[in-house]
Amino acid sequence: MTLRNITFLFLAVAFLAGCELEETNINPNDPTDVPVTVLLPTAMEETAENQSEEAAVIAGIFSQYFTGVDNRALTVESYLLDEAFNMNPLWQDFYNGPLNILNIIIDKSEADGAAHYAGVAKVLMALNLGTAASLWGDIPYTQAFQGGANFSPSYDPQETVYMEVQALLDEAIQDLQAESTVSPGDDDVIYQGDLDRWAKAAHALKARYYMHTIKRDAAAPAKALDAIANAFQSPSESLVYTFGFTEAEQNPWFIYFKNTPYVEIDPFFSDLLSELEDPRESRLIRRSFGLERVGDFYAAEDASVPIITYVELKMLEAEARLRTGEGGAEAALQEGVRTHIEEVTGGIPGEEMDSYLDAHATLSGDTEDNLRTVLQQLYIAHFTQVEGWTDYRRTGFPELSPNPNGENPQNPGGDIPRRFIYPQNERLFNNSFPAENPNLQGRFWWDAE
Amino acid sequence: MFRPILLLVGLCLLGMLPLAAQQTITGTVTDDADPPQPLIGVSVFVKGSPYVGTITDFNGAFTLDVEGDASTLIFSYIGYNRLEVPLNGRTKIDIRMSESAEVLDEVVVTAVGIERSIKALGYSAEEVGGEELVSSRETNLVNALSSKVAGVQVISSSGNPGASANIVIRGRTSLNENSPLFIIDGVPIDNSFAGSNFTDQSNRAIDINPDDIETINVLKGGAATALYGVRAANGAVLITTKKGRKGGGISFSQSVTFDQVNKLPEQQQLFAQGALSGGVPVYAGPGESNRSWGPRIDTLRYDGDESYRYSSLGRIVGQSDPSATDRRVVPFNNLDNFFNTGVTSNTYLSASGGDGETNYFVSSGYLRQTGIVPNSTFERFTLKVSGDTRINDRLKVSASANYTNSGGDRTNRGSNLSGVMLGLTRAPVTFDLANGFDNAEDEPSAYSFPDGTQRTYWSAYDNPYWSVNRNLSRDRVNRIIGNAGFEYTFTDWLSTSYRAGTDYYFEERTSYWDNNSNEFGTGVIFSDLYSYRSFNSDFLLTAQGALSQDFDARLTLGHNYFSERGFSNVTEGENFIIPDFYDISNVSQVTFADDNVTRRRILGTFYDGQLSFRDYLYFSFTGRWDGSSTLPTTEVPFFYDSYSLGFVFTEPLGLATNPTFSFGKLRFSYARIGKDAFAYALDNFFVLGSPVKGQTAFGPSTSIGNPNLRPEQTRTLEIGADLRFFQNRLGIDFTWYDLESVDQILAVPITFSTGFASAITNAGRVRNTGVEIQLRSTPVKGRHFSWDVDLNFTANENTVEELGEGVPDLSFGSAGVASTNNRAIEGQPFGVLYGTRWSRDDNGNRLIDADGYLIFNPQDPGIVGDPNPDWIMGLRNSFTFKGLYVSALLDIRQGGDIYNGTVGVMQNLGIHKSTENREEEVVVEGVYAEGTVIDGEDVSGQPNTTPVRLDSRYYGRYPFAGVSEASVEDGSWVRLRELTISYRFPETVVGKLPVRSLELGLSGRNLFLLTDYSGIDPETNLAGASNSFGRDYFNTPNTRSLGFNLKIGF
Repeated sequence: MTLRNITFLFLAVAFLAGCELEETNINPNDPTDVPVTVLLPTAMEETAENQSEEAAVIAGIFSQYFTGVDNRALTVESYLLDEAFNMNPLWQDFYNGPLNILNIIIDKSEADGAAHYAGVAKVLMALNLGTAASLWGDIPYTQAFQGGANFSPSYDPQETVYMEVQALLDEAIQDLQAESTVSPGDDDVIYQGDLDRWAKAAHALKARYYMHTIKRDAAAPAKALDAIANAFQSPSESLVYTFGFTEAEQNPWFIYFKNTPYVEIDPFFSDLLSELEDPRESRLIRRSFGLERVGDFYAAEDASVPIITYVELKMLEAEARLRTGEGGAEAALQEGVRTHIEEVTGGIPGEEMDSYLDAHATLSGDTEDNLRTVLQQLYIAHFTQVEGWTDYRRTGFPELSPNPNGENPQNPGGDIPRRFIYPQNERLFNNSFPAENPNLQGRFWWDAE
Repeated sequence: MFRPILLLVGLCLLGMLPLAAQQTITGTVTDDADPPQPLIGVSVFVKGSPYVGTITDFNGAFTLDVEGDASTLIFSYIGYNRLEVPLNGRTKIDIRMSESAEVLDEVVVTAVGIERSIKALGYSAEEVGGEELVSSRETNLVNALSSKVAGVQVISSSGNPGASANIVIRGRTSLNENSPLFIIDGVPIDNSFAGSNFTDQSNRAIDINPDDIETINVLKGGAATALYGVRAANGAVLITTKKGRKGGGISFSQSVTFDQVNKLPEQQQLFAQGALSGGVPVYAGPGESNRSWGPRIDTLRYDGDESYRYSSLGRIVGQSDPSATDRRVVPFNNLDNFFNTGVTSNTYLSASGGDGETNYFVSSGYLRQTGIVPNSTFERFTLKVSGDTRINDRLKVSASANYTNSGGDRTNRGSNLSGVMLGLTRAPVTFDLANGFDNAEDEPSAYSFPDGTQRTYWSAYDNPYWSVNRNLSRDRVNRIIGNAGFEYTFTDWLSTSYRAGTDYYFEERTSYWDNNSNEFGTGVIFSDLYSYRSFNSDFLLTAQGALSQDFDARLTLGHNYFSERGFSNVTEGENFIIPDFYDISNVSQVTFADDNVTRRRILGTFYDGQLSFRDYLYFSFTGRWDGSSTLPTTEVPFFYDSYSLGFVFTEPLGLATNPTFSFGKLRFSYARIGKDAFAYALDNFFVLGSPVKGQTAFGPSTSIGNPNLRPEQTRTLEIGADLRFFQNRLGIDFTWYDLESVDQILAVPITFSTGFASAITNAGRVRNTGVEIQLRSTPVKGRHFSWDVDLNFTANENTVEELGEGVPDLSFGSAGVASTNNRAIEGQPFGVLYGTRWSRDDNGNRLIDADGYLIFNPQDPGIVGDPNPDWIMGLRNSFTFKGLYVSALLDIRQGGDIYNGTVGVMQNLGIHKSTENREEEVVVEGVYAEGTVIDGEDVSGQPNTTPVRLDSRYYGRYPFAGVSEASVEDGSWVRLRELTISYRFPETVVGKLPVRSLELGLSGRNLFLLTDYSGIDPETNLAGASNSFGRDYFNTPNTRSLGFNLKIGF
């Protein structure tokens, strides 16, 4: 080989390589932009998961659906939350999950005139925001999701977030009826593009989030009743997320008990069902090998996760009617209970149903007693859901006694926790983090003493 | 200095003219002892033609063809005085060489293959010989470096076969990645670690057979590695493999090594499975409790019911139970029963030869290892071919190819419900995991029931015997590393060289968990493919010569091109259909599939110059411009440089022949090294998830890209001294360094409410300051007996100085135990352990509540330990007596905390030895917390006097693995890292055998270990080769081993 050849080879390699430097850094694995049609399914699935996974486990321990028996659930059982271990993933599940994705969908679809996508996304956004605000109180929203443009989003007061939830739902209802360049179809993995149902779901959520605020807003029950009138008219319209489409998409409770079975059913809940001789018991609680776990209705491999249902709405209606003094509370309650029993059991003989309703779903006492009755049924209907703990906090029912070992610096007084603590991630990295880091007994806006 | 190319071409052609008449010179070289011993491997070459040469063979003999006009031969041998012998027409020359008091001829390979005299270096360089690497029969060459080089810390992850080992040079500098660059014969190779949360995988340097290695040179400081550019910002490990040589011969070696577990956590022996019920310990059997807070074992009996599913001895009942038999319950020793003796067999065959002009080397090795954990294995087959030939006295070409096939069966470990140590150490001593079998790993009825479900003490944890049969990860790597190059000499002052090399491997990895295993619940299989390819090209042009009588100069200009491409494909399936058939085709659903490509290219141009004054002052400088594909085009190429000075002050002082102090050198160097980003760090992306109900589903990536990244920079200042006394019988090498890494490219955590979890940015400054001391001495040196003492000492202090705005800390690898992880925190050492702590008052007293219990606040975690050792030291004593060689290497590590999550959990479960005192009442040291009222009296701040029982109520108050602070232990150790005894049979014996040499050896590893650490061997790491270190959470224990070696030369 002569030097001329060598030099030529050397220069050729150098030249070719130089041209390719920039091209080499083009990522062949991930795109820099995608249409909303592929974001919507992700947002829906993650919304459903957030309603049922760790948040519901912790809330469920606090509301005594569950008792922690192992690992991290054991500490939750004594009202200790680890700000990193328990809270970081949860917060991330909301903020790096549906909240952020829905925000992207809303921005993109509003820019493209895809009002129907915006409408669906706003319903789900309201749901996720409402859930997060009911757990943590003040949360970042108006300055959130801005990436590098704002590393320290400020916290919106809980009251403002609840107003925003209602505003989003109102906008959603309008968007769903507006002209839209494109409309969701199969990518809407909940209602398959049925916009009418989305509008009803929006009204249903309005009712729920009004009812959250009853301790603050005396008019809330009346507003809820208005919303309920336009919401679901039958159980089939409920907003639920079905799992088990493929084996990969297993119900989150199924996965929980398969992988990390750290809770069992709290005796408070199982005793309650036994005491009521409740026909739902065997489908709500699964007993095997001396263990009591969530039953097949909620935890079968292909079980659906309820997000907001006709049953919940009927019971909220009963509660609201009691609170406003309008009649019809008992009818609404019985409709809710009957529907739920039918859904859970697949149907029971009429006499059995009647005697159960007579015994446990009649409102013949004073308002207090009647509320107790309604909320007992709502408590059963909200089994496995975050809302069960919220119901307790906003109404005081059912009457729970705290774990006697529940007093610690994070939970002074040892009472049943009133809220989640903020995650370590926020405390460390957000300069707008509240000056006073609340503990588990901190009372936020709607949770007046 | 450089003429037009035409002239060079002319010179080049001139070099190819037919050679002048030749003559053959023969001779022997011996030392000056009495009687003289032959010197093997002495370089013999013609003065003025450094490429016309050979080396002496086994008998000290040489044969060299020289041109007719050759007048003088030069004889050069490390540690001996260089001789220039005029030929004066002779064709046979026998000479004797005398040992040198100087170090003139110690030559080391430095960056990009440039050979340098140690004397001229302005920075510290340390070489480890091949013999020293293989003496302890380590499978992983990274482990073989442990405690042999100052400034180098090796952390192996466990005693599992093929487990990864992490090497860190001069402390952790980078907040991303601290692995040095590995280079074999000038070709960079991949030492990545495709780790797993479930099994111990290998770091890829394991594919190199230590038997093939001639020397390893560790380049530590910036000045040493500057020429390698961005890839060697964490140092470089230069491996030179064995080459063919005249008179090399055939060599065969066989070793067999036996491994045993060297240290285990201790279980309590007094209490049965069970829990407190109404304050009374009550027995709870298999499936009823995962705890060992039951009654005293000596109060229990078997009921003798042979039909009992868990044990043919029957159920365990209280002694007063009506069904109780006389058969007492005695504790089972699950831990000792479980571990096997591992066996490693290593066979190596090599052949080397040539005529001095054309040389070859061929070798093959096969290693097979079975581990202490049943069914764990590792295998490695290597094949190496290399050759070089001198085409004429100007052109020399060489090539080398190395093939490796490696892999093994890996068992589950760590924070993993199928982990072997998890199921093993948590099991109560009243439950026999082996079900009475001696060989339970081969006996399905030991670990499973007829219906196919597991026989395990607690339904959430795998029986380890089940796990080693039903949950394995198998990997198989095929790898080729090759290079080819030439050296061409234009004139006596100008030469060039070119080398191209490639590293290619393909790994197949199948990891499966059978149906009914606990980590995944349903059966799961991951079928992974990984491939990696790199191509490296180095072109060098070197001019050297005397500028004047006193000044010599050398300048190398170079060009480097490097590209790499990694590919991975991961397919996951669930639920096996046919039993005992673990293949991705045998699952009812493929649940996930994805592939990933990572590419990077670097284009560099560099210079390396040296100016020397007389024989004692050496000034070197390097500079490099790098273009990297991973940085914004506006930032490339970027430049960095280094300067070093070596001053042999004994020369001008005329001490060179001084019998007491003959050599002293001072070294100074300063370097800046740039480093690029990881691939695709400049943009934001959307990431594909699993399909949602058949719909394609994307989500935004949680990392914010940064189009404005700048290259990172590491600055090193190094000062050192190399002092030799008593004719080299005592040498002390001292180095002080200060290394600062700035503008680190990091994905810094940000608050999730931004919509993202991390942002890529230039942030962070980490400083490492340290001292390295090497001491080499020969206290006794006689004709038949000598005693050598080698010591290396490293103390490194490391501080995270800055992490960028709004970033108070960074955490590394929370995988496994989220409660306690490594963090970088401003003002703290790198990677401090961070976790939950006891509540304390302002004076540091732990706070106690009214019931006498320690208080801890989960909302107030903090630093609980520093896993960086204060200092580490290796001390080797070796003795040679005739053919007998004995060497002992002590390894001492002072400091370095370890989070012992294993013991924390074992305490919570009441199975750890320390819970045997559960019936005693103790007063925990501390003071009552503010506002504590006892019997109506405010006792705030007073010392605790309330006794508590250290039973399950005590441990149950705290998290499952305990409060992190309570589980941090000192990881100091003193260990006998290696003990080698070998005997080389003398000529008188070997002469009668058809062999040329015969050597028998005995080698031991970790034969003793002194440590206060209460768990397994503290040389362990949950997260493998990564920035997460000092954590033990059901890690697989380490081993002690004893091996026998036989080595024959033909």
